[in-house]
Amino acid sequence: MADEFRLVLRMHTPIIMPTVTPRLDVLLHEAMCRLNQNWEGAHRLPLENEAGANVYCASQLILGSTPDRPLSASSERLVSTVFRQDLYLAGKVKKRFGSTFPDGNRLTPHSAISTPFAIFYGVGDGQACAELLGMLSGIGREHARHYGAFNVERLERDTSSRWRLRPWPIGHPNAWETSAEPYVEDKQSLRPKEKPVGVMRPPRMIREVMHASR
Amino acid sequence: MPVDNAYQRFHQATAIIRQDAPADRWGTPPPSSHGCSICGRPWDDVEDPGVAGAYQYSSSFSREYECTSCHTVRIPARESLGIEMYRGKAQAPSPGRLGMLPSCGAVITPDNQLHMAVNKGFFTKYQGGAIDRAGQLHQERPFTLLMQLIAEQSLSSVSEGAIFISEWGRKPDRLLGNLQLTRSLSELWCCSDAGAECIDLTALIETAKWLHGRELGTKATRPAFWAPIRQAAQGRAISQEAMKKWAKDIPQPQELLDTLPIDPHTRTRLPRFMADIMPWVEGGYL
Repeated sequence: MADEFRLVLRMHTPIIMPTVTPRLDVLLHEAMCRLNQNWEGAHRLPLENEAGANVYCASQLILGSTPDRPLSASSERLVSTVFRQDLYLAGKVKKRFGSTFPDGNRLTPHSAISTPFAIFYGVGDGQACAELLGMLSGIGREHARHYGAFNVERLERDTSSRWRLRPWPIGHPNAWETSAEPYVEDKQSLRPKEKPVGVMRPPRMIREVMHASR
Repeated sequence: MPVDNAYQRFHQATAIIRQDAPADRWGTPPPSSHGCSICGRPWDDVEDPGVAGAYQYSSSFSREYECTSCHTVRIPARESLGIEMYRGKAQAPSPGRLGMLPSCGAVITPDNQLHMAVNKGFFTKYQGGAIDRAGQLHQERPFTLLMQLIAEQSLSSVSEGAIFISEWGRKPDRLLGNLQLTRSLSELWCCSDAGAECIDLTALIETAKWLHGRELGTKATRPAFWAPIRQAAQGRAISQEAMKKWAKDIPQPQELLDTLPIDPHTRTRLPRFMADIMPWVEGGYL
């Protein structure tokens, strides 16, 4: 069953966007790794392959806002890099802080975005993709600290071809180019577990205005 | 010339700073260290494989080993910058360092030019250094310098990779740990000692042009003009009446809303950005 689909996720906590935008095939691959308890090598995903470019038919994360709930910004301070050093150094750091918890100024500020929905487009077995995403606790950075928590709101058939909003090899004709979403040259991996290569990719942050928050 | 990551670009542009370092500053990292303690890259992947500079914050902290690119900000740059201050009774000269430049920034262009934007105090101190003699020391705010370089077309080949440092600050480990390469002005990474932040400069310039074309340029630099947009971006509820009142003064408000950058973090700071960009639009440089 290979259909174009659109996955709408309802977001419960703010997303901290990583440098590289999360992509459906990469998230599904991580879910597959967790399912099989095997992080070595590549797994088969329930997505169609785009033969010409050797990429999965899966879009990057698209932020879905509604007229009554626009995107909103917040700054989250977390213990992300205080203990980034080797463990023996962390001992020294702790000594310096004393026994108290590090104060706000010592924490790492993250730019988080609250969005009511997140959207992925893809071609393949949408139902299997939706079930696999349930293996993940969240999207984006600090997902282990409950940022980017979601559940799958609905799965729809879709014919807009917006699954092409993803990195493509430079000069590939299948890329989705509109004036609203110009492409940026970058180095990224085209498939999970592969080395970065030169790609054309859409902007890091794409917003889609949805009609009403159902 | 194109590069793969921000560290390569930073390394090429800051070669002049490393010329100030004596040869005994560099050594080989101990086997217990797996990679640079700032950027975390393995010793085989850095620009000078197997070469490290040692750094210790104080005697109660452990010794860290940093790759040549990251260690550049620790080097006392006597020739390239100058003397920052004279310390103690003996008045020992203390040269300036890139990692100790609060409220100063820099732009690294795709042709590896390091343009420093410094405040008045540092500008006076670093007169006559190699960077000043090359004409790359500017007494500007970092964002103004960036706009100036864009207006001069120095960043026309930005797709090959440029770096914008909005604040050198006092925490170079955080600055270099999060260093990001800018490949498009629509995703301008502002690297500072609080981390890197992405802004959509193309959309901001388009917004400024749109407003200037409708004679709203002066109004747009005032915070009151953007009040509903900013409140919405901060997550506060906006009443329909407030939105209607705002839209009354603007011809085609929907067109303006479509031009604005998507990121709510940028929207909360719109008056500041408009005040910085508007003079360049009004002058016809962009």
